Amino acid sequence: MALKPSGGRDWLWTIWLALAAPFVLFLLGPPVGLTIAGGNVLGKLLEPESIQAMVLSLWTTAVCTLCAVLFGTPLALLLARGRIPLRGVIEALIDLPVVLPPAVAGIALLLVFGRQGPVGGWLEGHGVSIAFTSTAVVLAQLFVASPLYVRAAIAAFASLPAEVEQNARLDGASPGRAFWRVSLPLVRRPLLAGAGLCWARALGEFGATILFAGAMPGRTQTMPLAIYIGFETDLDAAISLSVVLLALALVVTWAIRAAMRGA
Amino acid sequence: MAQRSGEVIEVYAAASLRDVLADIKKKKEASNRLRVELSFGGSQDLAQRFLLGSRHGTVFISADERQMKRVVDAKIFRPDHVRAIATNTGSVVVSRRARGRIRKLRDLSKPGLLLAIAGKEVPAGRVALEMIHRASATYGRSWERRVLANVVTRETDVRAVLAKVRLGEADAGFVYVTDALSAKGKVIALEVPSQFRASTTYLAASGNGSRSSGYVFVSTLARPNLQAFFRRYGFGPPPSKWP
Repeated sequence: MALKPSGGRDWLWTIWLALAAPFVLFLLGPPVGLTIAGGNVLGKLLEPESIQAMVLSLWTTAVCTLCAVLFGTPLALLLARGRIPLRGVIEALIDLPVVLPPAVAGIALLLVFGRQGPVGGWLEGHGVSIAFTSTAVVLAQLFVASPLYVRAAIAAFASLPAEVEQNARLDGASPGRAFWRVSLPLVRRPLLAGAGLCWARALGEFGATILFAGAMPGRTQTMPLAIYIGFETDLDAAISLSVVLLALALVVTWAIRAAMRGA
Repeated sequence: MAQRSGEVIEVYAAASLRDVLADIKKKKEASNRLRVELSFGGSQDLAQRFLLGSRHGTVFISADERQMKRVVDAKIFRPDHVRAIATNTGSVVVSRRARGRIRKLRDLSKPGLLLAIAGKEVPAGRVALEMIHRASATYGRSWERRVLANVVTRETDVRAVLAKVRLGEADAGFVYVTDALSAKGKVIALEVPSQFRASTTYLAASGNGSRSSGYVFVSTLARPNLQAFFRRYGFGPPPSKWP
């Protein structure tokens, strides 16, 4: 039988099964329940506030992921290959948002980028206001989600043997060309997986956003915020948006697994 | 009526009652052998939690009639168990950094201001919209439009509005007079002309029968000794005739 390992010890196997099976059911219950409840209310997605929330979530997370790739890739390269000062501190900084409660991130962002904060106050003096804008939404997402990409990118670059690029250089390729045409294609899949993870985390960002950016339809009320507020005002709309996020989460997990298998 | 000893009363109350109920809890627990557990939120949020299934024997205090009606209509509380316990009036608070630009209610339409308000389902949000609407009879409809255009966040309860103004993130916010009083010195309360003022009535209900400690708790809230607590925090007395 496929379930049994070779050899005896069937009783131990039974105990494992008895503990694991209810756990799987527990994990399975909520998504199945949500899908069933959501089937009847998907029409709610066409309501203006739902559409606004989806559009806002889509473009803010896209900007967030692009920024994470743009600024995170060089950082990951430096950390994976170079000898840079304060490496330990930087690596700890990258790990921090992953374990930091989002509400703490929201308060911290507010104290620095809020109108009374050093950076926010300075920007305000120059006519740039972050408070209550979509920029605040992106900053919250970037702070909480981008480390996921950077971590994945560090691992990807670290797994790449240094000789690969060196050989390309020996064959006459410039450093830039060796990186773009040889190294990057080799780590494309893990980088994409990291970007996917970052995007998914940004899409789900709630705690930091509601504290730091506020909640205004069309401007700062992303899908998770619309779900939270919909819980109080329009439960069906909240359920329909939840189903969309569940579907996206499933797609992302599937895509990441596919990408990593290829790598 | 003596309350049975060692009991726990769970109270789910509107966010604006935070300070006064904390005091009442202390007094109750000191003079009776019972425990009062307080949980605060926007009334619309609490009502939704009761509708989705909540234990019996708990007390619900809503900041307006509409949210209480939702749970009474769903037969979670009996209509004859609902009591009016206090009233509150809308107010506008201004952050210290914006006090130069906002001196009176009329100034709220100035371009570029960041205003915080509670969501339209939140009792404080409804009171705020009513106040704005009443003022527009004098200041004009375009004034109302410009004020609403300055709103940058719709918070889920009135205390979140107050927090945004206290932090200086929002220039001004629509709260209750009790919130303005609680943050005296940290925010500036605007003078609202009496003809613009809008108010709301707090309603309390308990789940179980008339012998339960929750029922007793609710009925004592309207008594003079506890009404003194509400008065101290700026609440008005319950309407003499209700409903």
